[in-house]
Amino acid sequence: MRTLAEFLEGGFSNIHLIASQIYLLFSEGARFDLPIALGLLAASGQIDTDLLAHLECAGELGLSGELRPVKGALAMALALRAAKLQRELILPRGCTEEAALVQGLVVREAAHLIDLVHALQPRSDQPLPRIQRDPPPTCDTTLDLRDIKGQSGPKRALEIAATGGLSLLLVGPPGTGKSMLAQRLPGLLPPCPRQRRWNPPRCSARMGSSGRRCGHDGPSARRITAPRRRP
Amino acid sequence: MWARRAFRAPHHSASAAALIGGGSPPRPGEITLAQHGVLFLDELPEFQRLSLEALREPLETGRVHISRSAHQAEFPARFQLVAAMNPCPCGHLGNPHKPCQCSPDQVRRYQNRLSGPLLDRIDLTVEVPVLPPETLTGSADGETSAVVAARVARARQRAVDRQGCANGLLSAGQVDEHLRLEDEALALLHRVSARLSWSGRSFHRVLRIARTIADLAGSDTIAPIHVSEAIQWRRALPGREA
Repeated sequence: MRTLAEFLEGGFSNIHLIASQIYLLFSEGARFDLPIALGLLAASGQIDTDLLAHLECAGELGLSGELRPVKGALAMALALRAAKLQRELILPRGCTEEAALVQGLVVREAAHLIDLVHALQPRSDQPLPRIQRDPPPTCDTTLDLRDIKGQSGPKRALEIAATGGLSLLLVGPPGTGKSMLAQRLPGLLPPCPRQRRWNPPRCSARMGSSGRRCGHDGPSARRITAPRRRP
Repeated sequence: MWARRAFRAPHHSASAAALIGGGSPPRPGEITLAQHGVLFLDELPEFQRLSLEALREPLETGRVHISRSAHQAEFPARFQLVAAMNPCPCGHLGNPHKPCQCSPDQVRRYQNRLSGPLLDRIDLTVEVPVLPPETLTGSADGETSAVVAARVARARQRAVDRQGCANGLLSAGQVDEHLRLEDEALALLHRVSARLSWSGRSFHRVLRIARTIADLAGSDTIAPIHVSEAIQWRRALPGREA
């Protein structure tokens, strides 16, 4: 930090230099790279401190100043909305999609530190692009209980388990439809209550599966993940 | 979008840390990612013993504690467990169309991979039998998921209106408070409980199932018929003493 400050006092305002120094100093907690860089730039008078007051940001800085996505963007967006601070959220490309799912929040995307610095100049004509996403429509599951023939007993057990949120053990010889039955349980359950909807995606986002979740099939398709099949 | 509940189906080769949570600093596992959703464990006896035993706490409390030398963490893990298994190593114990190849000792060792306390915490156990060929080649004539889901939603709403949550989320004390058990039904329960030597946990789990069956039947009280059906769903594994 002291080295950086000396750099700045000596008049070095090169963005790449700042980025590379931050990269070397802060290899842990990479999401703080961007706020630190902005703080240093503000301290050296290169951006207006007042303009920083209405935004929150996170992002990892690459050696050349490019911004890299961070984990936990969704959790950050949810926390910012809950805090009711009326601030915009600036994030690197690659993690804005999941943050933009949170309605009622302005999320902007920056690919490079220099883009953000230009946007923060007074009377800037290069604002950062706003990323917006409508909540995707809930898609109907393609799995139907009707696909399973007979098995009225297990189907009854599935209905009871779905109604009460009860646990269920299916026992039987191979190939009798145990997996098929289990896969059709989500189709019997009512939608998750509104206040509980965010918990699993928030955990996933923090764990870094956010990129996968925002792929083409999106979070609205309820996937059954079985990473390795038995031979 | 995420109004649809999560469905997590980890393979049985998943590590205990991946399933329950772990690492340093501790990170949530599959059981937390399945929060308010479904966790499907196929081939249940094939999961690591450590993982299976670690499921006991979240199945009971809806939370999991992870301790490492440098970090402690508590994660939510309120998931609905669905598990599937064969009754024995060859899979055909109790199959009228194919004889079982396993010795009684092999069956016992296989089933013992699931401890009594773990099985005790699973509400319903149901046998999925081999069907005669004419059923499999016949046309599909069962109810659609939509029809069943509508029934489920109505019954679930009855429970929520009565006690604020689904029956599976009731603690033992809350079960007693919201039961509305008819006298004959209670007498039946006591008789069966004594004969089968049920634990207190088993008793309350049967009550939760009976309350759910009564909700599906649109009944305000739990009648003996609801209790009778509930008892059927608490059977032991095939070939295992109750």
